[in-house]
Parts: sequence; structure tokens; C-alpha cells
Amino acid sequence: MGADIAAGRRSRTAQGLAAGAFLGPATCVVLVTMVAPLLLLARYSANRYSATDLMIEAVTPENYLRFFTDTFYLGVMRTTIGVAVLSTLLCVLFGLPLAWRLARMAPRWKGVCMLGVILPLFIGSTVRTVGWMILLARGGLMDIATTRLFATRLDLMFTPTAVIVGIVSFNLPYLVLTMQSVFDRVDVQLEQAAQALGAPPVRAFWRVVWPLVLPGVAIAAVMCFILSMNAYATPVLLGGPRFQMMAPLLYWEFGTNNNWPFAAALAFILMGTTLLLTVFANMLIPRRYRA
Amino acid sequence: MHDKDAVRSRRRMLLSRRQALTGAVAIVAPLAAPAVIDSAARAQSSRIVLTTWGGDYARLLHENVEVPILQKEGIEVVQDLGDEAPRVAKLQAQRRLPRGASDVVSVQAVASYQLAEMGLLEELDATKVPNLKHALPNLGTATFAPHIYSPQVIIYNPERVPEPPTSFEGLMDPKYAGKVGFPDINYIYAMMAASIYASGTTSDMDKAKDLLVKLNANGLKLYPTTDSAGPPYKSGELNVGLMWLARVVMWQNAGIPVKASFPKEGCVVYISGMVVPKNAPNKEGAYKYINAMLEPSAQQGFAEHMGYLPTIDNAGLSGKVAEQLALPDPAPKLIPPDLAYVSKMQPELAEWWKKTIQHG
Amino acid sequence: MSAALQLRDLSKQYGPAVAVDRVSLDVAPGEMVVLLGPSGCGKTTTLRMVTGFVEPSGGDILVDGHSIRMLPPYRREMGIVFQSYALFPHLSVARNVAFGLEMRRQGRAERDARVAEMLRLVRLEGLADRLPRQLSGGQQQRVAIARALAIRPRLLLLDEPLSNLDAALRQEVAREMRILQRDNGLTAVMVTHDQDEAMAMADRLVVMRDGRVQQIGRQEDLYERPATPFVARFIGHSNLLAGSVQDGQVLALGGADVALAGRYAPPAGSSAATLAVRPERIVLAPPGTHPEERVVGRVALSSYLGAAVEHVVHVGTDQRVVVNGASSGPAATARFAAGEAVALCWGAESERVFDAADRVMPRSASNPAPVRSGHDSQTISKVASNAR
Repeated sequence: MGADIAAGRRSRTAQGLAAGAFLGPATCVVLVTMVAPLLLLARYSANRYSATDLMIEAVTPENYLRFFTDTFYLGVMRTTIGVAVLSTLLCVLFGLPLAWRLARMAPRWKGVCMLGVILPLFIGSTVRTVGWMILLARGGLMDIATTRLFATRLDLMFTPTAVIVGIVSFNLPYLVLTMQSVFDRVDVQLEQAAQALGAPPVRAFWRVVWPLVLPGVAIAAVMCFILSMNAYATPVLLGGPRFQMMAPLLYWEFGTNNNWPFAAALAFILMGTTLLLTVFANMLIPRRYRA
Repeated sequence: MHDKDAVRSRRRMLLSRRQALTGAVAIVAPLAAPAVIDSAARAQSSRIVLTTWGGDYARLLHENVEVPILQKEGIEVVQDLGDEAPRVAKLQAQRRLPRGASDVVSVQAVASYQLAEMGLLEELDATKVPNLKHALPNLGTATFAPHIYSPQVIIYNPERVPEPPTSFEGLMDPKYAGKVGFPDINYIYAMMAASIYASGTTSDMDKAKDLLVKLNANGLKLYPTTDSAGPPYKSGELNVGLMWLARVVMWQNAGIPVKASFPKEGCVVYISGMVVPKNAPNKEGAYKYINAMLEPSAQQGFAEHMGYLPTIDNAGLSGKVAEQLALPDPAPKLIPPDLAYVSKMQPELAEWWKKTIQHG
Repeated sequence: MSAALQLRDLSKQYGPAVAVDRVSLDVAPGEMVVLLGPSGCGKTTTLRMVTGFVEPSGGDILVDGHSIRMLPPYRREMGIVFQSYALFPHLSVARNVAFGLEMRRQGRAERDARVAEMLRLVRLEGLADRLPRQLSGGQQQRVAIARALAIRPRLLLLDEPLSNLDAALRQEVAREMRILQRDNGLTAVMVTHDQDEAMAMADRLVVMRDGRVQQIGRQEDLYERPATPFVARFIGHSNLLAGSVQDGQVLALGGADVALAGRYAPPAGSSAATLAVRPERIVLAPPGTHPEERVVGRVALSSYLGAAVEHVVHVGTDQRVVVNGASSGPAATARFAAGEAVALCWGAESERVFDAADRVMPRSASNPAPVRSGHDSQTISKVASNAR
């Protein structure tokens, strides 16, 4: 009896070890590639910048203070949040019906359409942005089209509109894919049941489907928001040097200015703000709908 | 007692610094790892690691320097490609390692000065680089061998601008309102151009700031990359601007209707070259590389394909290249940047540029 | 008589494929009609056309004499119980039941009263505040019914309502549903692939195959007078023996002849025929001992199944007949061991012959001699005891 228990305990320990062996490498990778740089970055952000020494060991809040006391940087953050919120809203607005149609499509068409959604992901973000540049620039397709049709120039290049269009086009596939799989899990019969009980399709969607997919949509939107907050190539190439967002600013401080401590502080501020807003947005979702 | 404390605290400092450094290496490790691992073995061998820009520049180095000259001597070159900013960062991060990842590194003159100030660069041994004696004066330093250079000129579209501006002041002419621009990354050179116009040197930044505020008010257009500043001259978005002569030549060859006008007050020059890090594992090889890059045949190749001026006095350009790169008569004033001043001012200027010009 | 629901030549095509082919059906008020058939027979598509979720390619649907073909599902006033029940997982039992009433913008008090009434009807009064996932399968099914009935539907439509319940519960729920439907005078159409379920629930059955109606009728009609070999097999598992009719009295199978109990008139030009006989209508006897001996075969398998004894008998070269009989009691069947020769015997009322086009082959004028009933069973039991 006692031996049995001991054996059971042993085998459980063995199981635990086996599980650990499987989880171990992944945990190590996460620790090394995610946690370690973060800790390092946190340490750097408290250092002091030096032109000749790169940085001077210190524990000072001055990099953070510099950000929060300078209206210029706060303005950049405001722009970043504004662009991220707007592009996320647009993404959800465009992506929702798309994902819905996709989820309810006959299987043979669905494959083709899914491929159509995924295909842009095969092209790097920079290449795609260059595509947008050709489309939006003076003498580009949009310009030629509007000049021919309405005799007005459409200079979208280096405008906030271009940035938002670029970010939305970049994020939409991710959002559609995520939401599609969420919608996919909602039984068609639920909608039909609602309709049979007298709810027109739109009402059936809002009363029955929406509460069920809300957590999934929220996750997709959060992903979209995080991607937008951290957008780099799109604001640089489509927004131009005069359109300032956090990621390009951060890279400028790190690369061009070599100010690693301030760049590290900017990274933490960007991350913290994104996290905070995400938590806040999650609180807006009614508790009973939460995942 | 007092001393002991100091020693202990210094040791602690050292320790934490090393920790920070190891971390810094970890950050750039994905870029540097392969080179770091075999750098010990490489020291004795005939392999050189060159850290440089990608694209045409790397290709031309391969075709004009590495294949025809170094390969014959049995030297193998590994190119480690990327932008300048991460390259500089990498050198800084590796500075306390006994063996660095790179033997020879391409940088602009300004960056080379900053690296030298930090004490990261080996002083070049002229006896091991015989071709250095042909290098043009004022372009290089004790730690920096110039490779190519190009003056910053006023670029214009001759179809829409029959009479091009002949000085920086011309760019502020209201008739170019909204039709004047340059790449944002060249901001510091634009400021030097303004400074030269104001006081004949590259280091009068107070006046340069005023001039750029005025230029900005004239509808200055900024472009995120150098490449993206070319097509606007064709599409009609730009009429005039500031650009390297080399780029003007390249764009001409690409069918963009542009010409160069040399400002009468003088042009600041862009200089790019090579440096040897103090912890380069194969310094002998690095010297051989620099010597090869200064060979006339190699310099001709760069002039022909990229439109940069040779940095040696015996390049012997001929034919179409010589014609395209011929400087006007009387020869324009070519002014190398005051590296010490620019390096010192860069953080402040960057901040000012960001807040006043970009944002304004 | 005014039908509560009429289907008129209702058809559905998907491209070249015909899913439902000209189905016509009248359902009387208060009647429970069950659509029965194997998967892919078109029964579910037919039901979906009635619910409005599938658009018919042709034909019409009338409720109380008015066409509803152009009405969207949400205006059809149908109470549907889905196979998965489709309870709204985020709403409580009471909110689920109230859903249809909310859509009709009924007053709160009235709504609450109706919900309470419905929950009482399905005996779930105590569970109003539970979420669907906190209920058992049977309880969920009852909520689905309560929700469907709450809106006082013109029709109750049941799509495989029992298939998600375990076997033990199924019979009980079926009985309850039937009583509920009867007591409340509900007109209902149910779809199932389960023959026993259909027999237990239906007033009338519609057997479908390949999009077509094979036969509409009451249980006895289908069982005693199947219109096609398919119905004969699908309802009650008839033995089907294929052969050709000779002289109107003999069915020639390969390697054996069946002496038919009736006389038949095959259609001109084709003598091919299928004989259908139910396993429990066949009596086994030693060859040459029974007046209704039809054919002699060899026992391949003999199994004792509790209430019944089942014999599998090889007939002719390649056909097999299953025979079921009571294991005990006055009508207990005789038992034969595997390998024994045995005579298969049945009366005229137990056999049905179909022609090559699956139509019932008519009997010709002269009937065979009447069967001497009463005498039979004695003979059989005697034979049976002899056999032992």
C-alpha cells in the first residue's frame, strides 16, 4: 500500500520531470529572448547619456522626467495613441463584416478567400509600404486617377491619412484571421434560432452573436492596437519625417542619436502606455462577456 | 580605509559595467554572433570581416576591391551588411571585448570622429597602407581612411528651373515655395550648408538655425530616405533642393531630369571611408583592405557606378565619367565638415531639428 | 379539411444536384408528421425550407392556406427545436425562453408569466436562473422546447431533437414530447433518421429517399403495406430476395425456387421481381412438415437474443434470410442448429412482391387456398418439439 503510494508519487514526479523537459526549452527561449532584454532595457533607462562613453552607470529618473515634462514628446505620444485608436477602430469596422462573411462562407470558396486575406502577409511590411508609396505619391496611381476624374490633385503622401491607411491595410489581415476563427466557433444554428424566434438578422447578430464573439473581437482589436502603437515602417515611409510617432522616435534616439538610456526609457513608456490602455479597454467590456 | 572603500566601489562599478556590456552584446548578438564565435580562429588566417552598407556599395566593393585585388592575394572577405546606426552601436557595445566582430568598418567621417573620441579606433599605420600617401588632404584623419566623397550641391529640374539658384539663399526664394526639399536624414549637412552661406564655416549653427527656420517657412519638404527624394523632381513635386553630386549623377543616369548647381559660397562634402576598431582580430588584413580600396582601379569603379569622387590624387578618370564628375571652372570651394564641432553639437542639433523643423 | 401546413411540389436543387424533388404533403392541425430517411435523403433540406433558412427552387409552402415562401425566417412564427438545441449560452434559461417574447416587444409582466408557464410545462421551474451549460442534455432539450413554444408558434419543427441524448434518455424524452404535443394540440413536423423514434412519435410518417417521397402513411400502412422495397427494408428490416417471377407463382432465385403464397401478374416485358418478407413473419419448420412451406434453406447462424431467437438462413446460391421468433411462450419458435436444412414458411398476407420499377406487383384474380389458421401453431409447436 505504502509502496504503491510511493510508486505513484514517483511516477507523478517523473511525469512532472517529463513535462518540465518539454517546457524547459521554450521557457529558456522566452527568458533569454524576452525577459532578459527587457530587464536590460529597464536598467539602461535609468542610466545617464554620455556622448563619449555611450552611457554612464546611474540610477536616475531623468530620462522619464524628460519625456513627461516635454510637451513635444507628450505630443508624439498623443499622435501615436490617436493613430492607434483610429486605425484599430477602422480595422474592426472593416474587418468585422469581412471576417463574418468569411466564417459563414461555403468551404470551397472560403479556402480561396482565406488565401486572399493571408497573401498580403507573405509580402514584407516595407515592400507593401513602398507599394502604397507608389499608389499615393504625386504622379502615383491615386493622383493620376483623381487628376483625370476630378481635376484635383490628391496629395496623400506624407499625411496622417496615408499613415492610417497604411496601418489599417497592414493590420487588417491579422484581425480578419483572428476574428474569423472566433466567428467560426459560433454555431450557425444560434443565429437561426434567434431568427426563428423573431429577430431580424441584424438584431440576431447583436443580441446573440456579438456577446459571444466580443471577447475574441477584443483580443483581435488589442492585437491590432499594439501593432499600431509600435508601427515603424509605415509612419516613417508614408508619414514622412514630419509625422512623428513613438517607434520612429525611439529608433532615432537609439540609432541616430546614440542615446540608449533615453531610447530605453521611451521603449518602456511606450510599452507601459500600451499595456495600460489595453487593460483600460478590457475594463470597458462587460464582465459577463469577458473571456 | 578611505582608499579601500574606493577600490571596492570601483570594483563593483566594473562588475556592473561588465554585466551591462554582456547584456549589450546579447542585444546585438543576432547580428554579430557568427563573427564573434570564430573571431579567435580568424586572427591568424587570411579572412577579413568587413562591416558596411548593403546594396550597391557592398556590391561595388566586392566587384572592384575584393575580387580583383584581395582574392588574388588569397584573402577572403566576409561582408556583414547593415545601416550605419546599428553598426556604430555594435562597435560601442563590443568595445570592451578583447576581440571584436569586425576587422574593418565603413562609416561616415562624422561617425568616425565620434568613434575615435570614444577611443574605439586604431590609429592607421601609414607604412602598412602605402596608398594613403595618395589620399587627398583634409578628407581623412589619423584613424579614418577616406574612400569616396561628394560635395553637397543645389539640385534642380532644368525643365522647370531655367535659372538655378547659385547659393543657399536662392532656396528661400518664394517662387520655390513648397517645391524645395531634401532627405530628412541629411539635416545636419543642410545646416552646414546654411552655416557656410552665413559665415563661410560649417560651425555657425546659430545662424544656420535661423536660415533653416526661414527655409522651413518656404514650404520645405522632407523625405524619409535618400531614394525617395529623387522621383519628386520628375513628378513635379520638387523643383530645387540639396543633394550629393553623386546622387545627381545617379539620378541623371536613371532618367530623372536633374542638374547640379554649385553654391558660390562653397559646398560641404560628404565623406565616407573606413576605420579599424582597436579590437579588430585581423588588423593586418584590415590594412590590406584599406590599401586595396585606395587603388586607382578600385576608385575608378566607384566613380563610374555611383558618381562619387575619388579620394586619391592618382585616380585618372577618363571618358564620360570624367565629364560627369568634372567640377566647374573656377573650381568650387569644397569644405570638409568641422568634425569635432559637429560631433559635439549633434545631440543638441538633432533635438532642435526634431522639435523646430520637423514639428514646425 | 384545412391543412395546417401544405407542401406543394417543393423542390430544391444545388446546381445539377437535386436535394429535394417535388415533395407534396398535407399536415392536419394537431398532427405530428415525421420525415424519415437515411442521411442525404432530403428530409432536413425539406424542413429547412419550411423554416425559411433554405430557399426552395420550386413549389410552395402554405400555412393555414397562405403561402409563406416569400416570408423571411423571422416572420414565419415557427417554433424550432434544433439538433444542437442552439440555446444561447450567454443567457439564463429564463432569458432564453423569453427571447422570442422580447423580440415581439411583449410587456414585462406578460412575458414573465409566459416564461413561468413554459418552464412549468417542461418541468424546469427551479432552473430559471441557470445557464445552459449548467444543465444536463435532457434539461437543455426541454429548455429548447419551452423556448420554441413560448412564442405560440403556428408550427413546431423538430430537427433530430433526440439525437444528442443518450440512448437511455431518448425513449423517455420522446414519450414526454409526444404527450406534450398531443395535450397542447400542437401541429408538428419532425425530422429523424431513426426508425424507432419515428414510429414512436408520429401520427403519420413520410419516408424519403434521394430527395423523393417513397411513401406517406401511418405506421401500420408502412409496416404492413410498404410501397417500395426501400420502405419495406427501412421500416422493420424486411428480407429482400431478388429473382424473377415464373408462372405468377414461383420466384426463381439463383439455385432455389420460392413457392409464392399469392399469384402475381408481372408487368409485360419484365419478370424481374423483389420479394419482401419480414423476419418475424417467417416460421421455420423441418422440410416437408408445414403446409405453408415456401423454400428450403440451410441454417447459417442461430442466435438466442433473450426475448427473440434469430436464425440466419442461406437460400439458393447467394441470398440470406433473417428469421426472428419468440424465444419462449405459446408461439415460441423452433430452434435449428447451424448446417441443418430448414423450410421457410409464411402466409399470403406476409409477403409482398415488387416489380423491376419498385412498384407493388398486383395479385392476379385467383387466390390460393385460405390458410388454416389455428391449426398452424399446433403443428409448429409439435414440429418444434420433434426437432428438439
